[in-house]
Amino acid sequence: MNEHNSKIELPEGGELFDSSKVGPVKALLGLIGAVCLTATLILLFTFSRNGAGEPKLGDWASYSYLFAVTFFFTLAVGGLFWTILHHATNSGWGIVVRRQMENIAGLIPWVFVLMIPFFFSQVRDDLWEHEPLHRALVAKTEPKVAPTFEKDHEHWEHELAAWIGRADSARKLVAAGKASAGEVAQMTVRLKEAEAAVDELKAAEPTEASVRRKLQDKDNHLLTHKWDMYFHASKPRLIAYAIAFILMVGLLRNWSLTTDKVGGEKLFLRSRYWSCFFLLPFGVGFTFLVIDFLMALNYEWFSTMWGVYLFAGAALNSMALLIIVVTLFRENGYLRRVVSLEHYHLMGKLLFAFCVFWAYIAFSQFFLIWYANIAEETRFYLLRNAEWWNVASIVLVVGHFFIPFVILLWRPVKKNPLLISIVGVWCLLMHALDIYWIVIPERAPSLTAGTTPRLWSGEAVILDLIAFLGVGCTLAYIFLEKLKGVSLYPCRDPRLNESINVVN
Amino acid sequence: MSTPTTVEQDLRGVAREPLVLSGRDYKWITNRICGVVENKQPFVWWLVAVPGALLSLVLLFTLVYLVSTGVGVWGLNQPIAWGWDITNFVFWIGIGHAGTLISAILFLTRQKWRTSVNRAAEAMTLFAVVCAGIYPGFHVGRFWMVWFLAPVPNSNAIWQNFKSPLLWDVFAVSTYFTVSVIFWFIGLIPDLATLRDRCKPGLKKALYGIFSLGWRGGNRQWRHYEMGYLLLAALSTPLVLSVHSVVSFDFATSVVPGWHTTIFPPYFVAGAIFGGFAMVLTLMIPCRAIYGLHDMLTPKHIDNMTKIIVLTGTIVGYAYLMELFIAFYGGNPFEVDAFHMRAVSGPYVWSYWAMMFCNVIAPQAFWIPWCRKNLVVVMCVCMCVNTGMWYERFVIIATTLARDFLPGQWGYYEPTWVEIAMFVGSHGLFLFLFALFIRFLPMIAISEVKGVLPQSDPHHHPAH
Amino acid sequence: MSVTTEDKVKRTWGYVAEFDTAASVYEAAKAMKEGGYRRWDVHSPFPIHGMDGAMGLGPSFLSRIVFCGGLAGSLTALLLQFGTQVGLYPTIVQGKPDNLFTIPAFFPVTFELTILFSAFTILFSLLVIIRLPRLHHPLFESKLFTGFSDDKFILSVEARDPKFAREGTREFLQSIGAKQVELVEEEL
Repeated sequence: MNEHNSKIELPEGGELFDSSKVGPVKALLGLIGAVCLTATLILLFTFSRNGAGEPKLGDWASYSYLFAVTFFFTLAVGGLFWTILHHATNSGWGIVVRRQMENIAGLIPWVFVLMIPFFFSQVRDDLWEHEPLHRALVAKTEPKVAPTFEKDHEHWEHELAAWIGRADSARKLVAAGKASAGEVAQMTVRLKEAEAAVDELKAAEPTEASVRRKLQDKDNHLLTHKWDMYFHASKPRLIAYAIAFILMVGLLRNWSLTTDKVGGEKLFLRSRYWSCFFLLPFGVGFTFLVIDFLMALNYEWFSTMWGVYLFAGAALNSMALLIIVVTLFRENGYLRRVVSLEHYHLMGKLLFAFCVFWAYIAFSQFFLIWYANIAEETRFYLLRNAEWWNVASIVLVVGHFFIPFVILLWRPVKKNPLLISIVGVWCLLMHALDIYWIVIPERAPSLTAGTTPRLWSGEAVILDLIAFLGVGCTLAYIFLEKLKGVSLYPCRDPRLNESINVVN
Repeated sequence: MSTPTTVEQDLRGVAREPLVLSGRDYKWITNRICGVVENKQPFVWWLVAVPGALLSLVLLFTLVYLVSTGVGVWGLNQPIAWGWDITNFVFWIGIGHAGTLISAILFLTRQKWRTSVNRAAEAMTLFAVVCAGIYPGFHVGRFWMVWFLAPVPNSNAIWQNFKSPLLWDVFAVSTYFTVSVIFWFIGLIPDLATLRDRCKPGLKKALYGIFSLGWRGGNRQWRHYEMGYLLLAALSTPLVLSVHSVVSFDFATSVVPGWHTTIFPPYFVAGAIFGGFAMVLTLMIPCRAIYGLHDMLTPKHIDNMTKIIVLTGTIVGYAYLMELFIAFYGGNPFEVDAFHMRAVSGPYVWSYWAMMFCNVIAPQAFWIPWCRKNLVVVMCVCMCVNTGMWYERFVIIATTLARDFLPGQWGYYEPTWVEIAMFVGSHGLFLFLFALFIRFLPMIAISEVKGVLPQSDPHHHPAH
Repeated sequence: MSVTTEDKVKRTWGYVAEFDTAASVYEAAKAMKEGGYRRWDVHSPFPIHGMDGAMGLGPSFLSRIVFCGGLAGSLTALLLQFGTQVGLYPTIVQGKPDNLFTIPAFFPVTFELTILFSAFTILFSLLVIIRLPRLHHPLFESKLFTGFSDDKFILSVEARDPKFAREGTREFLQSIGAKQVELVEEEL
């Protein structure tokens, strides 16, 4: 359709990234990443209190690590979202930047590798305190189970024997044939009653499990919530999320890279077809992952909006990251022939739209809880408005919404690669604060419960920084490593020309 | 060195489908759309307009009866103080949202296919908001006191409680209606000018002339006009979100289990879009057949709208399931019981499952391409959605209020004939207004459809 | 005393030229700009993409006015709510504060009034900028002109343009591809 559009001469294999130019940067990233990550992992596993007692460095670091991994997970998964969305909506504008979305999404397998520590109790017990609490309660109940069971069972045997006896005597009386008609009728009714009671009792034979349940119900609401049913499956669930996300990224990226070699529309159409279906596992997987990781930090906290809230942040900031990545490439002489200011304008508009969307979701969630003022919900926000956290909350409102909102209203900003990238960096900083604000306020109250209660663990900030650098630099290194031998844009995509000439 | 696009390949699957079929030109579009207004209406039009008008009279009668007798003529009582009235209010206002969505969000996202449906959808918005506005207005009981809601100085020196969700409703709905009218009118100006230029001198020409404000279609006008339209679209998008969010606040700011849940705002918005798109299809598929608009309302348009229905239907399903899940996860016994009574043991279980079927299960048919192409299936599913979205509001309102915290407060609610007549009457009013719209105004945006033809691109050179 | 058409005093308003396609009028507009004309316009059934550039017009400044309108709406709403709820008649209900920190409850109304004021600003400033409503205009007397709302593209040049010349302009219009050219006169 766009035959009239100018056809610029493009190299057949697309543009390749020259790794040799960034050698020192890459080495530095790798070094910082390796050192900081190793330090964090050592802390996590060797300086853990393992159960009760005063929290040690490794316990503080569990939260740092969760913060860092979650932050980069949201960015990577946002890249996957934009890739899926671009395919599913049959879009054309973003083909030239789609490879960078895929590259960002390509970090997902590595993020899942970094999630392996979350399988170990040294980390789990610090983060999700309902697990040790639950275990402790079970341990408290368990010694009572056997004696109670014995008593219960004995009682049950007596009952059963008594009813069987009554049924037998009724049956005998009727069989003897000495009773009057009235007595027979009476005995028949009694027999039926007795037989029913026997059946009922047989069905309700106490087992160890039923006795345990009875004791737990009496004991604590942590055990009556049937949460164990949900939480005990959190490790297999994490594996399921990993498989689903890695599969989605792998397939889409593979199809896209193969199109670079073979061209044609077959794989393009296949990506489009499957992306529609991918939206479902994406939505469900993302929601339950952030519930398992973040909502579960405080087992009393719940919000139906949670998945949407984290999703809004992920999509927004992945777009910010995409803008920054594209700008960095352009500044170094890549992508200049394919990515124009129109693409910046479009990406800027999406950044703006999701900035507003995030604010809408965040405000609605806060607002409904603030307004209804129900004790079990407000704890989340009370904690985040206690003492200095209040400042962080206000900074989030102003910095995550108002500042980028007002700046992005102006069209010249959206069309200026440098300015929009600065806004992107700002958004990423705010997103880091957002995730920090979700994870870290839980740390001190959780870890110091039962010892000297504390609200804030100031000295642990350095651990947060180390974990953040460790995870971030490692992933940046992997990002650069994966650029090798792959075109920086989908060079034989059937919609490439439409995308290059996009005007909005 | 070669460009990838010069490689000879079959790329039919990737090609963009034309938005207007059969290679129609500007003249045909003008004639076809204006013809609907200028020619005699077909018999079917009378079949809609006359019963619509009669039912509007029924509505008027019930309203007079209601005001002269008192709200006791409705089946409402404690504990169920909100029934069909608020259900209908939320139902109609939700219907309206798809109109704004098509106009605004699809405009902002450069979905050019919207041009064929946006005008009718916006009209639908206005009429739906008119129908919606009736219910809360009369629900206040003494209708002549409605002005108490407006922040004007009064002799009691009392001011409204701006912290009340019901007052936000007043602002949200009235703003929504006003902005929708402005948006619709600004869109209509060039098309009214077309009608004006086609009329013979007389009253009609004078009226179209007045309402088209003397539009001359100069580019020095168009450039500001386009910017104004863009800005209105950019304002309407968050407005739609806010209006239904405010409606959801009516419920969600309370402490009632089943109402107080944080996902309500986006879930209500998604539901509104979902129900509204179904209503657009319900209206446009018959119009397309009656007035021969097949070349402008192509299968592609219907396909796109059905896809939006399956998407939003699935989002609504996500919200339903998330409510259930969080009730389980949160472990609040009241919350658990509220949903247990909704879905398993309460008096309105049938309505919950009607909602589930109509809103979540039925639209899944649209995953299958055949179902998106078959208009009978499309109409059936859209009818399901229309019904389901009404049930959704009924489920939220009636089932929740019927089972309060204490069993002593439990009750059951049934509508009286007045409520039923009002509900049917509001449908009559809606259809009547829509019929008048078709009769007097261009139901497809002429200038916008022309703008998406391939020859409208100034760089277009016809193939030889 | 009726005045016949012949008796009316008329003066030249300008020319209208008819074009068949968007592409041809686009080229013509470029030529007009290069020809140095200033009081002219292109009347089309729909906005032509890129015409602003061809005519040498910058982006519309409407958005800046609307920003001010929106700001006025926000301030009005905040003033109304804080003025009445905190100042004039504090309603201490719902367990909410009656000071600055009750602001989340004021967001919905603030938002709605911002949108409302912005929308009115758009409507009225748009009408002022494009000088409508103007129910009569000399162009409406032209036979060719009404084609703009159907399938024709009309280029109009005003006689007030410094470059306007009765013969020269007609020839110029024909040379840039006009299918028909018509002289438009206005009554005095």
